[in-house]
Amino acid sequence: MNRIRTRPARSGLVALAVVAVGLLATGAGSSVAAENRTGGTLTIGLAEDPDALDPTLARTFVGRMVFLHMCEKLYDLNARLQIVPQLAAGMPTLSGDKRRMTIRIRRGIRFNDGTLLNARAVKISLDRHRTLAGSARASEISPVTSVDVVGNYTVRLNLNARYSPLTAQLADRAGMIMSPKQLDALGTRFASNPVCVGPFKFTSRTAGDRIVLDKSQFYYARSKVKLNRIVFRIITDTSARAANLRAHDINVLDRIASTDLPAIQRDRSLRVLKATSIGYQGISINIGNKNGIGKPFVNVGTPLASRRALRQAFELSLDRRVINRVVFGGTVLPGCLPVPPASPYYDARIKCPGRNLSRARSLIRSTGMSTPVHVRLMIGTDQVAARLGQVIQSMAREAGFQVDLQPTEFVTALRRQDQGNYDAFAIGWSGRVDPDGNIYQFVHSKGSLNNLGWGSGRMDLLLDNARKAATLKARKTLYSAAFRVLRSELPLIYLYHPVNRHGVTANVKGVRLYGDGLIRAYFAEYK
Amino acid sequence: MSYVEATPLSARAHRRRILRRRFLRRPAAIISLAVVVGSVACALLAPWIAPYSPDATDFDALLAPPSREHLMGTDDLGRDTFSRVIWGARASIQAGFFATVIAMAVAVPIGLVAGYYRGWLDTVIARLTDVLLAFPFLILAVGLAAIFGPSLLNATLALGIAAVPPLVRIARGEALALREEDYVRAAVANGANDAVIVGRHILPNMTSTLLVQATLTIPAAIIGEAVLSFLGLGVQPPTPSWGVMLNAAQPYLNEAPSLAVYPGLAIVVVALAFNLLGDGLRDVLDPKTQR
Amino acid sequence: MGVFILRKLGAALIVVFLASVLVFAGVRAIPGDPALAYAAEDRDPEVLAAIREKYGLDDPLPVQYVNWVGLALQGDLGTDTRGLPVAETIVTRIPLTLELAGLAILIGTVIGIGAGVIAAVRRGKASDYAATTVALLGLSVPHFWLGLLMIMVFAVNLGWLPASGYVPFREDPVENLKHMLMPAIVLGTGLSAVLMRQMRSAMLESLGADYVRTARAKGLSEWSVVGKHALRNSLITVTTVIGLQLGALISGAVVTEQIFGIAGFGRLTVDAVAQRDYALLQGVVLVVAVGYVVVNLLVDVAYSLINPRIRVGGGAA
Repeated sequence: MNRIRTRPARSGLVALAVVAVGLLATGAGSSVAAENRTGGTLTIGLAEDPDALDPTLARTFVGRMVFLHMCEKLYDLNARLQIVPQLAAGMPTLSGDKRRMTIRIRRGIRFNDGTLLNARAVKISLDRHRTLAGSARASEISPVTSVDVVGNYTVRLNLNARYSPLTAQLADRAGMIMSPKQLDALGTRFASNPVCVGPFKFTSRTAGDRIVLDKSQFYYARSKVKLNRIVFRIITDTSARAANLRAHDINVLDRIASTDLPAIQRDRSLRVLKATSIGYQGISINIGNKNGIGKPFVNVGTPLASRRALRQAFELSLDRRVINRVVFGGTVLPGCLPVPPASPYYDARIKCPGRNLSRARSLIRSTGMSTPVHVRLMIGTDQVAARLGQVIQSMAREAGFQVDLQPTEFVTALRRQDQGNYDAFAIGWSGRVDPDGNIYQFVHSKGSLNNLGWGSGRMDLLLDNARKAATLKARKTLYSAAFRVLRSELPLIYLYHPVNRHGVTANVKGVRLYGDGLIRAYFAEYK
Repeated sequence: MSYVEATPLSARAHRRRILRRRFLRRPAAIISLAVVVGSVACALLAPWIAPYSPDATDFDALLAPPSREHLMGTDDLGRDTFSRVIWGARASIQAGFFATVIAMAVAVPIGLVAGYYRGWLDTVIARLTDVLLAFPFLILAVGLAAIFGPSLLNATLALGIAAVPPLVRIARGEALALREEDYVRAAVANGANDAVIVGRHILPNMTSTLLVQATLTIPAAIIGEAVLSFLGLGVQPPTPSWGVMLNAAQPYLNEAPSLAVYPGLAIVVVALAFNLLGDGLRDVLDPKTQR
Repeated sequence: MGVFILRKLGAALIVVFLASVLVFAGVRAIPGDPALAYAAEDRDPEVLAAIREKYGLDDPLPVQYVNWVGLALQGDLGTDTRGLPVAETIVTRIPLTLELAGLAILIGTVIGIGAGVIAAVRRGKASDYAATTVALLGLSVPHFWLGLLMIMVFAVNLGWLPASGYVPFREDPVENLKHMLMPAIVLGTGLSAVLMRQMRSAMLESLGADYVRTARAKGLSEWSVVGKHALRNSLITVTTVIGLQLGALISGAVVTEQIFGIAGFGRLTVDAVAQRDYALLQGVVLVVAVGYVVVNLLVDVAYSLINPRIRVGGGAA
């Protein structure tokens, strides 16, 4: 019996030793400088931890929010989502054949390390975006074949094809210009201490916890910058984020969950900013992705894949308004197109169908399929995805569909989608300013994210022409026609557009929110 | 040998009568047995007991307070919470029972071998058990869920594996002690082979200890299932499980706190019943350690 | 002595090596391409290929392993998907979890030992039954549920304590403790229940022993008898129980961090799995394995120094 005694006692000692070491480390490890709240520190609670803070490599939505405060771009969006010059001196000029784009750069602008912004710096950054291994920007500006410095403050982008969305891309991360000096010093480790042109400069980052930015002394419009410091705190739990805002521990809350909204709205010391996202959420249906993405389409043979009438019946069994009310507490915008109503390309003449059970049932009957018709629906593993899936399941059941929910962890789900190992997947897209970014990759038969395995010659023609068309009117006509094809074929059942709501404490003013859903707090101040 | 085999019937019957009398003197044990039987009945007979189907939604009665129609109110999708609590017993009892069975099936043979043969094998097993004891089962479960996908089966497996090391330790200790008993020594001296000794003398004399341990492993596994389902690593919606219900209730702590109360109470009541029953059984079967 | 330490050191190295292989293979057994996790929305084939190349994911596994170990030996655990050094991330996250665990052990020990001693001394009285019942209840309550209830009562309704989050101790010690109090209580509950039961039976055993009767007969006061045994037993019980509960404590910490939004080590691990962040996950598990081995080694050596006859874990009893 003695032996049995000594063993646990020993591992107990192990535990105590570990803890003792830890308690010592607690004192040493946490060395974040004390913040001076009244001196002008704004704390923003982010919903996720951004990835690399390197404009060439970054991919996350929240990362864009951080970049807005420290990395300016050649072009920017205004409140109406129109493209306006930022570091560029004016809108780009295109050559007659639309294959050469000339951009003039503003003079006298300094990076946050004090070095000067010029055409050479722009070329270095654009070339890095185009060619660095692992660049997330390369595909965004892939038609750009080379960049020429044609003057101290002028660059020329040479394209291999007409590409209307290019300016929009240069108004996002692909248009961010990094300090050549810092690039020389850090290379691929640029993310550890990024230096750009911006109202704030990077100070420090603790993974999974916080990112600290301080006011830049080199920024060209520094008189507009009132805050001394912006701290991005990462708080992934939605209720925790809400609780922090209500306690005024954070000043700005990135994306309020619908379940937390009532309490925040009741609180007089808080304001809610709201913007409909430019993306969408829907149900992707696997039609012909049998052998994996990029392979020739072969119909997968499931009921929804083989019969268009069943896809229509499935859509008619769903009530978008009920989904909005039950799953989101009425906080999203129901819709059935890849772009939201706020987009200039939206077509109000296309009406979304309401719920129509009898028509859904008769469509199922018309196919001669015996009910229940089986549908495997892959969903995410979070609480909202579970609610959405269960509501869809419950509504579709009444029309004669038996929906089997497959909650799948996100990365596994993406892999299954790319392999074609799914029937239907409730997923969305965060959205791009240009409609091309919401449509082309998914439903063009050559689209790089077409994991529906669906395509049509007519759709390809419409989308290709929309890429080349120059005027808004012409593009609008083409996209309208594309929307109608999508509505009748239903390879993707669009359900709603998220509405981003951000909370702000009432003592802060100047926090702005555009349709891209990004929080802009660089010119914010305390009242 | 013949002496041992000739008398057991009447002796066993006598012992059983004593045990029953001892058990019946403990009200806590009796009540907990009733609760355990009740929860097993809920699990087996849920379709007949529950007033509603667990996934029958009513989108016009979301988060309804308790009423005559809905004893515990409705949840965020308008489903009857009472019915879901009853159905939730299935996942919990399944996980608790099968995890314990898996753990016993693995642990008892290992513990027996280690305790009976001793030597280097025992050392290796004891050492391994020590290491595994300190291994956090949740990390194992996260890994299993990531590799094989989250499900009740995988959660049960993880819980079963997690329960192995302490059971090995107990089985080993028992085997070690029983090996020194006179009748085992006698059997060894008579030249009985190992299988006979272990099967006829050691294992049967461990059963009461093992039974008590099983009763105490079940509630741990029930709580473990709730934890895993709460984290999204176990039972998946829409299947009702107490852990899943608590997970879904988390965003509503402000608006509808009762959603988080009922499933939690169900877990506590059932786990407490198993724990009390285990304590009671130990007192009855093994009066030496009586308090 | 030297030989003994050398042998232990050799064994430890082998364990670390095996752990590193296991970690490396285990991380890759998780389905889902890390390039996919990394690319998120921008996952077209060119991008994925570029990412795979950048992180060397297309290299043969042994090559990847050697590269990883080679750098790890130089203290470089690579960079995670945020482009930050893994080693730095680990160093900043460990203290949170250790503070949580330390406070939980403290709370659990104080409550468990106190209740255990009282229950044993007042055996059969109301306070014994109360303590025993509460301990059993503590074993039957899932701690995440207790956490939810506490948030509902103390944060939402009464507003006494923050619902979640973490403030570094250096920044504001009071806020730090306020944030840590609920999580530590939640995590300490199970421990205190187990401790209470063990302590009670250990005390009962020794209070009934002959030498205690002798001590009493010699006229020593009841409290000095109890006090002496309480002290001795609590030392043994605490080390025994904490050793047994270490795994449960770590599991509990993961859940507790989840509920209270503490960006600790457990959270880091779970996030790394979700992100398929190979470098981070490998780093995390390797650090844990090495830490475990090193502490074990130190304890072994310390044991043998204290009492050279004890060769812990060496040979049969």
